[in-house]
Amino acid sequence: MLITRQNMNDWNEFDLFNSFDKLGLEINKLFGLPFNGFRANPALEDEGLSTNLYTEGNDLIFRSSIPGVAPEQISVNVKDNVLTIDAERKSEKSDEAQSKYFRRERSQSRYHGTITLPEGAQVDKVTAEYKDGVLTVRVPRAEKPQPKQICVSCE
Amino acid sequence: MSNKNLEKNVNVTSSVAQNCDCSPAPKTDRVFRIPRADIYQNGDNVELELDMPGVSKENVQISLEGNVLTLTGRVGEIPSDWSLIHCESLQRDYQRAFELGSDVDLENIKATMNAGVLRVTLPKMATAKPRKIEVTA
Repeated sequence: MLITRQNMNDWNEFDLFNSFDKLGLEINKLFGLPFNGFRANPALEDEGLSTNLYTEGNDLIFRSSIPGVAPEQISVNVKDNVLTIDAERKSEKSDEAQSKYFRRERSQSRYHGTITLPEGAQVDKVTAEYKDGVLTVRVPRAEKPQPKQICVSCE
Repeated sequence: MSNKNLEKNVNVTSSVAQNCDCSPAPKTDRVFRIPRADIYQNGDNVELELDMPGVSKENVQISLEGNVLTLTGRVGEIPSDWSLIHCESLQRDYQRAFELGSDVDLENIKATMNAGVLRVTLPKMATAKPRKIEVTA
């Protein structure tokens, strides 16, 4: 439901920016992806991670942008073949500084992302590294399992 | 520095990539991402904070031309044997320019880079700071 207002007499009240936020949410729902175009709504604090996925040989490599976080505030978990990344950006500023913002675009303070790992992922060999605000998670994968031949015996 | 001066800060040189094309930008035609920025007052200084994930300290370039402060961050290279499967974040360099007010002490601008966040400290000129004047008899 992108268009919620049908009555043209309501144009005076039409809130353009609110509509953009709604559009962003709708696009989020459609694709299940973080939509970074409009981040004006401070209520959207907990957004998806912006992640690129690479492969190197058999390994899967996830690179997520998590700027300004201490490494100990990032948690990477694998449970039942589901990889979960959580991080929180703690504000170091005092209350006084908080009240004197001239411009505030970096609204995001919590990061969360989950993904189901494919078959063959070696969950006990997952490694994670945080450098320059980017978390790199490497998931090794086993060689493709060969189909097991079963002899059919008959008497 | 008055708030009004800071409100004027504008993007002078940057253009943003519109589509999610994750291939490296050609060297001749540089397209930048605009990093998100916070601007806030901290005591007598004004702090600028920009998110530039993927940029190391060595790859930050800060230049001042007149009163225009330009911040550029080059993202680290992805190893050539990695192949991209899914892309949500552009592998593009960052650039953003700010027009500074006349109250900023241009000689004493400092910057630090930590965990992909660039923080630029803009001190006020001594003349712009509030002064207490003693009353003599």
